[in-house]
Amino acid sequence: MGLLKIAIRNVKRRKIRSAIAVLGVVLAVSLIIAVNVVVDSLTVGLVEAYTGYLGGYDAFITRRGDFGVFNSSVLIENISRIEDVNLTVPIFLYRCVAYSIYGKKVGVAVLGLNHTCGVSVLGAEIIEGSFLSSSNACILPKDLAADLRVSVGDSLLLEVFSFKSMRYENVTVTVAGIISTPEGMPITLRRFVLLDVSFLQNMTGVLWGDANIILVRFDQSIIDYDNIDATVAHMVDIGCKIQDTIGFNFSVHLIKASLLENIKDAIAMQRAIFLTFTMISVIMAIILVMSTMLMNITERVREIGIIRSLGATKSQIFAMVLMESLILGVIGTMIGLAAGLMVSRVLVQPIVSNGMITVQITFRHYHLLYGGVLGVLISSMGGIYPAYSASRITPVEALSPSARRATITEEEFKRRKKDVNISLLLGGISLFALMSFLIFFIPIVTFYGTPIIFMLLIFVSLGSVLLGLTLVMVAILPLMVTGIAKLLRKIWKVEALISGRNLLRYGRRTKITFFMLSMSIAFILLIGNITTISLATSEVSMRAHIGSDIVIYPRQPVHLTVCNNISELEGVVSVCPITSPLTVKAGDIVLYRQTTINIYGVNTSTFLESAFREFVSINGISPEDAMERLQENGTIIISEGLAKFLGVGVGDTIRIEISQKTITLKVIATASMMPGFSFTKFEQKASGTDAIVSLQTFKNISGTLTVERILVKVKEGVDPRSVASSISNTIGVYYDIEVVTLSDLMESMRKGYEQMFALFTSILVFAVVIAVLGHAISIITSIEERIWEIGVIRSIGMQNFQIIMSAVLEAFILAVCSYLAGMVGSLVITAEFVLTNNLTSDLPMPFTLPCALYIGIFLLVSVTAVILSAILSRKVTKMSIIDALRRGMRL
Amino acid sequence: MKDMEDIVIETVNLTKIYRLGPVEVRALYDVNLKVRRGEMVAVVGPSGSGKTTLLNMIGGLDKPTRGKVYIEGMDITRMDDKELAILRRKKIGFVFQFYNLIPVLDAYENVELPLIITGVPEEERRRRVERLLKLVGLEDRMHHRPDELSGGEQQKVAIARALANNPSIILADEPTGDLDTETGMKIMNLLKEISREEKVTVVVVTHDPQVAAIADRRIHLRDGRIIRED
Repeated sequence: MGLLKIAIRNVKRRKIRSAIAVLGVVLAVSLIIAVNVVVDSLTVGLVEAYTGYLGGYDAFITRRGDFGVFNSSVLIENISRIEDVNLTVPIFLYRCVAYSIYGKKVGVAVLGLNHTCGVSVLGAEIIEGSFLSSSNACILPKDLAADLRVSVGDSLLLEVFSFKSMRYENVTVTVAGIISTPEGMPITLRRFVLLDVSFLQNMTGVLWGDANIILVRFDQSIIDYDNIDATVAHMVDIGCKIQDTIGFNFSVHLIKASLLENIKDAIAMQRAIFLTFTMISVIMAIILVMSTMLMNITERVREIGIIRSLGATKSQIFAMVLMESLILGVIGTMIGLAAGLMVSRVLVQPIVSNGMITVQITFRHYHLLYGGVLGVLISSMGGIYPAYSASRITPVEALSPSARRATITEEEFKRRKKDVNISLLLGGISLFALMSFLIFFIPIVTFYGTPIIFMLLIFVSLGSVLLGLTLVMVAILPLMVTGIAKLLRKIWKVEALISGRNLLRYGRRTKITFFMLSMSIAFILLIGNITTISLATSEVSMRAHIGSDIVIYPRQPVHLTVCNNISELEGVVSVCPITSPLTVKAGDIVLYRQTTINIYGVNTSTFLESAFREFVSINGISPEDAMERLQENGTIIISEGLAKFLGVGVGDTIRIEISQKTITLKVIATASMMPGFSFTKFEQKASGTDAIVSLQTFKNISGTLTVERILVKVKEGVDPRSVASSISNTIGVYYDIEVVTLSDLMESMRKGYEQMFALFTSILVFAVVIAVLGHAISIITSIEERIWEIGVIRSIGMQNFQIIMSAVLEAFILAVCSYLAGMVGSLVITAEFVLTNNLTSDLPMPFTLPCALYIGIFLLVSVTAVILSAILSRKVTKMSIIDALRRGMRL
Repeated sequence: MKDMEDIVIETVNLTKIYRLGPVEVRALYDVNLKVRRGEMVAVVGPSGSGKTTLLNMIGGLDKPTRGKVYIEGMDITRMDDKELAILRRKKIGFVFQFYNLIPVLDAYENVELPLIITGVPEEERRRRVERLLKLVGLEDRMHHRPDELSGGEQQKVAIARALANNPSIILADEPTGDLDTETGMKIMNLLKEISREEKVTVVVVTHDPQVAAIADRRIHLRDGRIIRED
């Protein structure tokens, strides 16, 4: 009990220092709670976002093999009897052309729905008008209504094929309501006209009760977001029962179960990443508590000696010091549990502001449990070493400074004089080298392990490489400090001299602070670098993969003349059709080697103009020459990798096998890159690559010409979206097509990366802040310890601003050294990452860095250090010299 | 007139009263003192007699409650912090009982410190530091840090540092307090020699009569008053 009292008093004695250590624990505990809360909230948000357009439906049933019409009444009756099936809704999906009174014409899907269901079936809400009020009423999504320029009350003419009369018939319907466009739906399904199912059945002349889709909703109580595996298993179980009931002429699509299955993996991965990042903060908090406790016991060596001389045992001293750190931990944990809620709201902000999904913050009891356990863990782990060191203090050593001085041997003097710690240096280099070497074995783990194990391994190895590098930096820290101090001595002679030496004097404290700062800075910069570089790489690779500003994917056969219509549209520069691929076995002439490739037919006269030119990389000849030569019948351009693999060159012939027919084609060029196609320069990646021929050659070898996609290049300065929309409104009326613009894809990808960047950095910045707190404690202790020394310097005529300056420089030099070390660490590993990637990738990774993050972290670390040291040292200069000198006498 | 010019330190009715709660403690009371250039004076008296307070007043480390302190004719009681810092830098050198030196700097750098603060060029600094360390007999231990020096050697470095800016006054507060008798005597003789050769006024606070005997003059303090001079 007595020791507990002493422990509590000691915690209270150094109030600021204790408060900062507590704050470190608060940050770590609140972060772990927040990360768990965010991941759990995200689970619900993600599931809702991805399954939202299902309108709360869990499965749907179609005729096996097609979307053909069937009589739904009997099926519905049978399915409804199955346990856990709540609701079944027949839907009739059909295609027609809609004309508005203004003469606008758009190809749409008509959707027949039982008017008793409500639009929630589609995951949408009515934003204007009402639900199907009369039999010939219809409802449109907002975007379609805008395209057709109709509003509530207007009439709409639908041209529908009637199975009764076997011809197209015109039916007039009235717009009763407009609904929000369901976000998650595929783009073609967003353009639909909703009608009463019986009205549509009548209109198309099918029998009453006919439908082509049955939506099924399960009892919602079976959905448990905390246990997705069980939920999916349950859904599969119901699905099997339905399949048993309806027979094998129908397919049961368990769409929600498969979405949940996908999301589950994504969430597990996300949780693993977030928790790994959080662990860095936890490690920082442990070091913070440890360094605070070490400073406490260093100050109290004498006091501990007295307690020992009064008869306290080693274990009692151990318990006393451990108790102190536990007190810090318990206070920190209690505040951290409350702060967790606030931090969750902050962390969730990037996701909320992105608007991709709605996030409802959900708290669970185990979040608090994690936080509590972690808080106690941090304080006990941080307290063990200081408690052990304190227990080893002997009364003699503690009470007599001269005895302590006498114990310093000659060798120790020599060791102290050495600037660089050689064992630390060698240890760091070995760890760095070993882990860098081991990274090359990661592919083996990729092969055998799960993605999460793989990811964790990457982090562990990256972390170890970084640790090795940081240890090297710690070892050479004295050189860095001396170097920077020397530079600064050109401006501030005395101040820089004293501050540099002071940093070296408190070696252990300086090194611990340096380690915390540089490690946390390196991590946040590294993750920032990798995220930024990945975004830049994905942007380039998406550009190369899509190949042009707009790509049109027809869902039904389209005639090549469509391209002419498109090229006449305003803002279009060039159009190039690309045929569906012909997957063939390609080999050298003697069939020594062969592999599978995809041959595409392209319009050779428009391809170069329609695709992004920067990704055209043809070996030896100019792209124009290559295209001209390709016009010759029986010629082909293959990838460089394939040419290497087959051992063929330009002018050689390759053999291809199509449905037991063998054809030879002449290679007129090899390319390492081609926009919109998969080309490679690596022999190892030759299998499955693409090759291009002219449309004529393609027709000759395949016998058909089906357009798979059409590349459309837009004039500079014209918004591709407006061109895409005019394509949808013209060609889209006649053909079922999907129009994709590169800018839209890029934007959503960028949004995703920005969200990821914001989340990662917000989690990792906690570690940096905890390290900055560690620096703050070090500054406070350093100034408090040297009050008498400052008195002596003042007595020989040093002015107050010089005293403040030397304290500021001391903090600044350490901040700069740590920042430099962190920066070097992050850059070295980023370079390793980019280099190894570029060895095996066709598209080089651009080395772009998040400059704002670099500046932000530098400011956070250096400005805090400068302000804090200025305030604290100013306080000391306000003290009279005599008081300062007296403080020294007491020490 | 010449006599007046030679007075380096003069205190007029110097009084310092501390308040410890309701109690008033008179640390110094109407102290009038004159010290000439090159003179070595020992201030002696029992503990609590006001010796250190007097020294602090003369050095401008503390302000009197009443009275004046003149250093080379300048009234330092009217000076602000900045002027006092400059005065200490140029005119006064301090030697304390212990913790005199900056532990992170070696002997050479400790002596050099006041010269850098004053802005003396590097070449001149080196010349002066080497001369001073030779003067105190530490030319062989120039690049040793304080924790590698003995107590006596540390005090010698402190004296050399006090002399760095060619001050007119050296104020030493119990400079031998932490040393054995023999080393203490050596330090005192060194101070005496310096005061004679360099024409520096030395005021030494001590409670050791043997140490005080070396000084030219002894001022005995008790309860904040001068009771005797010999």
